[in-house]
Amino acid sequence: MSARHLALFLARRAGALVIMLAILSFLIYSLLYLAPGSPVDILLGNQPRTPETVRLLNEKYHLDQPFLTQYWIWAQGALQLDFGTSILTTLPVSEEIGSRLPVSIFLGIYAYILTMIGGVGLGVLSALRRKTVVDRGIVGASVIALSTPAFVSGVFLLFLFAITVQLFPATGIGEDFVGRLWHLTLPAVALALTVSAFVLKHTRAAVLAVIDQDYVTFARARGLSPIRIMSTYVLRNALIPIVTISGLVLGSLITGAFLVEVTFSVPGIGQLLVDAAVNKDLPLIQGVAMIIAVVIILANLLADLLYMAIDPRIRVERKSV
Amino acid sequence: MTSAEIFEQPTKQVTMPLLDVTGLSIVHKTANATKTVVSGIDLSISPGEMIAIVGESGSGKSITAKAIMGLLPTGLIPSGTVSYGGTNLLSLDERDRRLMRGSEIGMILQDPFTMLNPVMRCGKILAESLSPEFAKRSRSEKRQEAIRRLAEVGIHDPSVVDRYPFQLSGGMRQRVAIAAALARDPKLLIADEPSTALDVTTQREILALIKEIQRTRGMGVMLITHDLRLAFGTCDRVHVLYAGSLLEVAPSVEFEHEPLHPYSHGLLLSEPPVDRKLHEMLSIPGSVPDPDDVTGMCSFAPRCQWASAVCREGTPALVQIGTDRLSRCVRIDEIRDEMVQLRKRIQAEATEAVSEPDSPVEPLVRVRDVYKQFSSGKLSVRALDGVSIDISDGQSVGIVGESGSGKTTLARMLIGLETASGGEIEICGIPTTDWSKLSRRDTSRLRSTVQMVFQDPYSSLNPKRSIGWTLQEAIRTHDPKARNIAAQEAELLKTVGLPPEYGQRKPVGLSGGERQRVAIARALAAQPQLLICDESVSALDMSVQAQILNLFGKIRAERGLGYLFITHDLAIVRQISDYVYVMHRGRVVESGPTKEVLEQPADPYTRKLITSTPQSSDWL
Repeated sequence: MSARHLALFLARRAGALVIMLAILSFLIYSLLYLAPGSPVDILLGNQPRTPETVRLLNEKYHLDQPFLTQYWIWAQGALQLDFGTSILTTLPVSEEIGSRLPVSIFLGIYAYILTMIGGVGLGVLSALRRKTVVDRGIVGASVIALSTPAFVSGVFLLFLFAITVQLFPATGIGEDFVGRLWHLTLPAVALALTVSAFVLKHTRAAVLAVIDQDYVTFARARGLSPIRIMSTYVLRNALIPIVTISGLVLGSLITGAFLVEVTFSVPGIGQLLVDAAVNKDLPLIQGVAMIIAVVIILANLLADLLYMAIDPRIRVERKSV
Repeated sequence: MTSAEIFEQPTKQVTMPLLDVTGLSIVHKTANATKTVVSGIDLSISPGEMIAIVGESGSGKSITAKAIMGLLPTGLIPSGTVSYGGTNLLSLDERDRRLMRGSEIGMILQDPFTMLNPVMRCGKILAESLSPEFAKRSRSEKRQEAIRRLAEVGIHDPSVVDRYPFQLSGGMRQRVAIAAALARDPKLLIADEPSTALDVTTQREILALIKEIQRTRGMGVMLITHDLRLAFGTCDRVHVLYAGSLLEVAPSVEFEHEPLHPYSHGLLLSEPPVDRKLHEMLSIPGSVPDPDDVTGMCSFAPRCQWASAVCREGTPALVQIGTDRLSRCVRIDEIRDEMVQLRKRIQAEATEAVSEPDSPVEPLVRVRDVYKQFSSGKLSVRALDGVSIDISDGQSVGIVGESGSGKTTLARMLIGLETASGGEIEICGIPTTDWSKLSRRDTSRLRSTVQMVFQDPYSSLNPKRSIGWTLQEAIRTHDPKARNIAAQEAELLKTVGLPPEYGQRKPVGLSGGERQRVAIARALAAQPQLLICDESVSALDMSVQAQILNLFGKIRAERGLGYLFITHDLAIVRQISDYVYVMHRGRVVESGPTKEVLEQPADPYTRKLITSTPQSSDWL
């Protein structure tokens, strides 16, 4: 694919991204009207309802304007990361999110790396040891991991490695990079366990499918070394479907961590979302929802680009000779 | 005899054979059972010799090749000896076997579309295949070597090294694969159906290439194929493998002149000839058995017309007949003359069937100037380019062409699976260019006029449903008010030569030929006037193919229905159709009565197709 084609592709994807975000933001803003109670009641929160506070709210959120105008004003603000102020803390929503997001991204990427190493590595191993004790053991363990919620495995990890054997801290997020790595290891492992079982199953299936391909047989028939066959034939081809799901995995790790964050008292996006939901803090919910949407869409875009990079059948023009 | 002639004479070499296989047996071990796959195979290949192993699916030919390469799938266990240069390969460990692969014995597989790593450029595939001493050379040196290797297989375009396999045609991919297989200069090449997945014209080129390389390198070649004529046309010696054991071994010339086993005899007669039309083809009844079902007897006895009690008293030995021929038939001396007579009679009665009356007033199907454009992105391909054909009621029409000729697109248009980009199609006087615009009544009328039988009987039947269910569904779809459905079902099964009990079976218990019979019965349920057969016999074994072709002939005689036979195989068209259209790159290049077109081809492409069809003499 030439540079022009790549640019065209990126432009098309960016266009789709904008449309997707527009639709999502519209739905998210509609929450204000879809939630039970009037918007004023919701936005008032625990403040007393007086003509004065109602007037202020109407002014601040343009509630006296038609719905579409309100949305338009909100969307313009959202573009500049202004989602209003939190009802509960009265701090700007963007500040609340900004203080939590780095931790969540750190935790998400950390768990993602663990997921990929563990899931892909064990998946390949179990495929290569097909129908042996090793394979059955790994598959059995993955079923357990898959059916154990992260907050359960989190409690176990806490008990084993923070209380019984005091290897890792039980709470806190650390100061510098190393400290953070050390503090977030247990949450990341808890988070990665379930998802890596999912990646493991996919990897195992992908490797099994590739191993039986003619090109692997043909590579062996030419006397290529087992290491070469493993790396450039089996892994290279088996990773293509894994990459496509890895975008989803990364997205869900960054945003789906709330149970783990609560278990380990990590002040991340997930915990923020839980607090916001409990307190019906709508501006905060809207802001977090938007950020989650953006992260998931970007992670998928990244996976698509990676997919193009490793599969020439997508990247290169077909021309028959 | 002058001295020059003596020199020309290929002296029978007394030197050691390159490869010597003795008593090779392979069993498939599973947790519960041990199944025989191959039993007691003896064969040898001398340097510079090209031998063929001919067999139908399930005969064990590919497994034999994999056993020689040491690439058997897990669970398959070989015994006996595979001796190469004095070493028994079966006793070597995986490390030593790997060192033999590629550098002593090379192998190419059937399907060039799946054999090459899809994410690797051709130059890299060649470079990594070169012998390990090249590993230290520079990149550009390896590239130059790759270009040189491609030139040896007839690819003179150096840019191919920078292409990915999916950017090449099937023939080009097979050439790249051959170059890769030969990169370490093996002394023996095993070619497992190297041309089966390719078009006829490409098939001939690839085999000619293998033959040429074999001669110039003085390499031994073991060609695995299902096509006896192809084996005669390319190899010095032919081994016939059936249900896991060799039934006959003979030099090609003598073999073709006179096969000495009823199976080879039947196989030869089941291959439809391209140069004449037979009244009815001689087919071998039944299908290839499981090796374990025919132990302790002649494996061909259940299907053999000459089988007697003696054939079932123990497994016959492969005995020498004459100087260098082997046959496993115990009755060969008694039946030899009878087989000769039978072949003579069939050849003599090969007459052209009475030609059809000239086209009646109104054709059943009328296609005029149809074209079809497929586009993806900015690429657009014209699959059909101004095609016009006519099929009258009860006529059997053939469309011959290679892949990409547009023949299947045309067939799919006739049953409404594809819509033409332009032109006119009329069936039964109903304009059907666009099926979506048809009324419900017209659609159902068309469905009972035209039906289709697809290529692959393994994927065209619902595996979860019984045969009876499938047929009853077809009967009810055609006529919702139908009564006596069970009787109709039995009648359909009878028409296609299956016993009524088959209604209770599921497709998984049926052989390929039986499945195709069911698919035909399903199409007949709608009582069509025209049956479109898209390569309907090409997925079947040779001995079964003749049965199905005969069945098509019988159904036509009984029901007077017409056929549109879509195929790449000229011999099939010769047997089944009165009128033929030859298609090439979306156009009809020639049409006319089948006999005329095949005997006096006017278009150069038709001539090329005819010369590419495998035949024993002067083929390559």
